[in-house]
Amino acid sequence: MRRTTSSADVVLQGLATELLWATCHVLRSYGLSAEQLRLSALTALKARKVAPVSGRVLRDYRAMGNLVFKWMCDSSYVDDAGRPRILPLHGRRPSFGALAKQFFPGRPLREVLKLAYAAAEIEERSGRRVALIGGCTVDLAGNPEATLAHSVRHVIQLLSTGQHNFSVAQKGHGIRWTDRMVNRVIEAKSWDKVVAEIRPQLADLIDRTDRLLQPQERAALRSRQKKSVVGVGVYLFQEDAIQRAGVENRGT
Amino acid sequence: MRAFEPLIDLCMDAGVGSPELESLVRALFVRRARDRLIRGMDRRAASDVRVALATGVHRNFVREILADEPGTLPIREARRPKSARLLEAWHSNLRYLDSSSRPRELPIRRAGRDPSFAELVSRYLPGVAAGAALSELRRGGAVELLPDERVRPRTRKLKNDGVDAGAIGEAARTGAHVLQTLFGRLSDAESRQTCEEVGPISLEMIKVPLALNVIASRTRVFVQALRAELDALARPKGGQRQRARHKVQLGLTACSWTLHP
Repeated sequence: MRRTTSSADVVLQGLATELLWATCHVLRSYGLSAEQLRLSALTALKARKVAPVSGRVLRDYRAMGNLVFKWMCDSSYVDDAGRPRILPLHGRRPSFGALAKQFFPGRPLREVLKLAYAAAEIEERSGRRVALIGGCTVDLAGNPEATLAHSVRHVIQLLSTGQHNFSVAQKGHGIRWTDRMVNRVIEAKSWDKVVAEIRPQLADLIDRTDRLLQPQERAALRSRQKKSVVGVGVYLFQEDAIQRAGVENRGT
Repeated sequence: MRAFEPLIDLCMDAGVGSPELESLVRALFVRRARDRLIRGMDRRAASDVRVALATGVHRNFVREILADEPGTLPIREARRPKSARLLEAWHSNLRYLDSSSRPRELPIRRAGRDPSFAELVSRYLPGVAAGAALSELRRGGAVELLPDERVRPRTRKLKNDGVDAGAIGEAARTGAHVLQTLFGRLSDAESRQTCEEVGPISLEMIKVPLALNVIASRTRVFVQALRAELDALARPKGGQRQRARHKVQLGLTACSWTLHP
């Protein structure tokens, strides 16, 4: 990055400290010690590349997301009302076993089921059957490694989006990636209402994006052309440190 | 002509014959013409002769029709408000929604700390047995009983019992809103009313349920978000005294359609 004035340097240094502080603060809450963090920081400073742990941790969850997506969106897996069928565990398509075989090749069905019950809105039904009772979302919250890996993906994607946009602005040409944020101060008691209002919209946006990109991914995986991962990451946040968020107590 | 086809289907379902419909349409035509003429004449009353000239109906009939103002169909009262409260909670309380914010299927009885239909009833219909609430909601077409003692929500509102005066009145009001916009845009190039359309899209029958689900889901989210935004716009700003201002009603109707060849 181009350096202009020393005061800009001071600001950049302050932002770096703030980012690392927030990162360390969160990492400590996952049980990492100060020594572990120091070692990670030293490795990060020296290494040109580090192991892609986050992607590895999330691989199974991504496969589960694809499995659920197919269960919801493939016409042979839905009933006359367009809802996911209740599937037998074993047998030929449509069955949960057939889905497991497609998205978790070589993995025992028992293992896939365990992940399905833990991470997807899938329930056991009588007669050795399973039902998908929710949406496409895979829930990582029960697994600390997966939750952190997911946050790491978010942070990396967010930082690279910001860096790309900065670089495009410096060069004066190219297409900026999209990075939007909005925040307002609200009363804490209104939080639940806001969640209820925004959550369906975010789920809808993600669902639409997934349905738009999924056919392209199918084609890309067969192609020999250069590929990249594209996506949209959304989250609704609440921050108690109003001043840190840059929101002043003025009329709007 | 095609605009009238659904109306004719409805009349046939309701046992209304062609002569009855024709006389209704004639009466409506005359009253509408009278109202339009009044608007164009600085709110002065339009004479029977003038209405007769504008409509092609003999002035004696015009007089007869205008002398007998019709009672409009009553707006359907909010029926079974308690059940409606339960359905509203099921579709909005985070505890009863899945990760995509759709209302969950619920087991009738509580299993551990997970939500159940019985819990929903005890919170929103206190004093009513889960079985009785279930029967009521099933009769209203709002839920579906699944095997394994589970209940699936189908609609946010109780459905109509069939073709009755109240239901026809509701459908007529909605239809009138849609036609007013469509025809209004034809005659007014500057009209700011919105009409966006998707389709017709030719789809294999097997994919129709999926497509209808997508339409329903997108529409539900869009309408819910729009309702919240317009509600916020309609709300008076805090501390400001409300001045009596001329107000209008506006809204949006989203309907899907399927045509069979």
